[in-house]
Amino acid sequence: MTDDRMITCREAVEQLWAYIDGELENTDVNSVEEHLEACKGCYPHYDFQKAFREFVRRHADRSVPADLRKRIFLRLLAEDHRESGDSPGTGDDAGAGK
Amino acid sequence: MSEEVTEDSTLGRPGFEEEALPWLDAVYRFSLRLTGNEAEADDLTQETFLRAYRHWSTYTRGTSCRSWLFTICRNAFLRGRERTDRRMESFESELDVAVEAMAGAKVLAEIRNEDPERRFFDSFIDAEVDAAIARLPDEFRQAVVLSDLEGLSYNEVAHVMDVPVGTVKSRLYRGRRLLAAALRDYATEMGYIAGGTK
Repeated sequence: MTDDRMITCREAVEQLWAYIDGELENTDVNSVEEHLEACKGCYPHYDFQKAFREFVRRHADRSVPADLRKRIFLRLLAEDHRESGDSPGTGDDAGAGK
Repeated sequence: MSEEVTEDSTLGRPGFEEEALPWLDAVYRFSLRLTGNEAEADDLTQETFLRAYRHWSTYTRGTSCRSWLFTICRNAFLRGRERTDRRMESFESELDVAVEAMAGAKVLAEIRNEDPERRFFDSFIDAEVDAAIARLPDEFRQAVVLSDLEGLSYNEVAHVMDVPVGTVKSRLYRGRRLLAAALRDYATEMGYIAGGTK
């Protein structure tokens, strides 16, 4: 037996962030989209949440300063130079998985 | 012996320039959000890339280099923090995802009602948004930055933060709610929006 009922407003709103983030399974995407198309109350929630997310991203964009980019590159080159010289190895720990 | 090191040289580790260096801006942004200031972000970004370079052989080609770099960056940050500040903020790790999603929708609906013309989105300058992000509690800020600013998937954020995906969702949704509420309060105070239904 299949469940053809439309999801409730509560269920739709609970899934909106995951929907906007592209993290829902296909079946859930269909359910949310079906609800948003039919429900005039929920569509504005979706529209505003999406706009908010884009607003945050737009205002928070930054690039690395040119001088820092240069310093890092030169530091890495110096690392090559150091290793090919007389003090190989670091004993350091990246602290990250693969 | 004194081989010249210049910007025109190429790095000795194969693949590092092509796979890791393109994420320099992203790592810098993440560092900036973690540390809250440019000087420390400079240091953290440098440390991240130096560590990544030294341990490049442990990176598995074809996996997400960005997530790998963010993980190194976050771990380096946390280690530095532990050295200078033993107090680590901790929050309940499993907030209810659905409750957070609903609460966030409520805050945004309030803003929408107070500001039907959407002046909210056009009023802020970058520094104001930066300040609001900086004031978020650590774990929520990291989730928001990694997901919203850097576009990592929930799984990638979970890997970087070393928490389950459910925890990422709850922290992300709560972080967004706190950010929206802080910006709403600020916008009301500054007269960007009318306010009143708080």
